[in-house]
Amino acid sequence: MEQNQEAAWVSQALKGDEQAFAQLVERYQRPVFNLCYRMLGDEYEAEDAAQETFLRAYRGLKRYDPSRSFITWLLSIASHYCIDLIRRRRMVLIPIEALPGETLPDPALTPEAAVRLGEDQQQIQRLLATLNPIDRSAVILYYWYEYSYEEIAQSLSLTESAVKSRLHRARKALAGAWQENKTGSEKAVKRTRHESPAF
Amino acid sequence: MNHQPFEELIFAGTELSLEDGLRLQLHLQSCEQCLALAEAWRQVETKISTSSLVEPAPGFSTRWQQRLRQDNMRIQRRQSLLVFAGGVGLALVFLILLALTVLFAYDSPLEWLLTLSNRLVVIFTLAETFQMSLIILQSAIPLGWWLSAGVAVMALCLLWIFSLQKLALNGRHPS
Ligand SMILES: [Zn+2]
Repeated sequence: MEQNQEAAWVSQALKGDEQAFAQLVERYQRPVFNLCYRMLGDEYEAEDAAQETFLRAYRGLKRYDPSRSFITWLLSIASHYCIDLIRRRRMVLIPIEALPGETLPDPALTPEAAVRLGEDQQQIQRLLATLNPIDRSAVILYYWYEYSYEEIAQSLSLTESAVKSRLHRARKALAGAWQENKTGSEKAVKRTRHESPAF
Repeated sequence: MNHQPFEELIFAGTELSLEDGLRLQLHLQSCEQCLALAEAWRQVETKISTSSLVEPAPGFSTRWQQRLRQDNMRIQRRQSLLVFAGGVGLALVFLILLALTVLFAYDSPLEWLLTLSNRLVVIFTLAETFQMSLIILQSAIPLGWWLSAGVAVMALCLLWIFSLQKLALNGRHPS
């Protein structure tokens, strides 16, 4: 039923019906936005990237293969767009694989967004930010979207074994970042305990 | 001690076989480093797998429709700019052609003026017809067609100039 509805919206949108495509936007805004947010770590950038993803999908709808799932296609567009965005953000001079992943400051959030996203989500973002964009994308597709290695390989234009080794490396990096984060915060707690008040 | 094979097991991401599981357990009992790493990964994995999808701010699809409208306007502006540039290009080509014809084909000023007035009448009539057909065709033909038509016309014009020049030069220097 839902599949039929989706196929109908796609074919109407192909004929130039913007309203029909807006229905698809309504249906898939959450998974697409989530992917962009996990990739970029900033709510405003994520909004912009998610909007751009839907715009590119709308303009390139002729290239969509209806035998594949629509959301898989959308997420693939979003992944590639975010990876490119992160690459462009960095200097072109340094090869991407050589970089350990940027240390992002706390994502800038409006008070409402901070409440909506919560400390937990921000903590996860700080962890994800330690990964390079392709590894990050693989982790997100694997854990949030329950993609198989094969599906990730297709979405990111990689081989399955490359996906496996990237995920392995990413898990290790995440565990390492978590340990560092913990020792960092333990030290901070000790420091505040031992410091005498200034007044 | 070599921790590498145990790290492979800790970060495998799949269910371990009974044998591998036991091997890892045995190692973790004696290796604090791997135990800390395994524990850290277990906590991260729990955190990630219990984290839900983040939602955009309300009104996302309305904002998308606004963005689409803006993008449509941008594309339209670019198209009209291209059509305008094509028109200017054509006009320039006509001017150059006219100049070349005058330069190479006529000797006396009177002959030149007479022919010029005749040519102008023809050109204006052509331009008027062209303008009318443009108005009719503008809405019906997609951008790709416009571009290829523009390129084709340019190429024809260049060919024309080239052949005119050849002819004119041949006329001046009879062999
Ligand atoms: Zn060990």
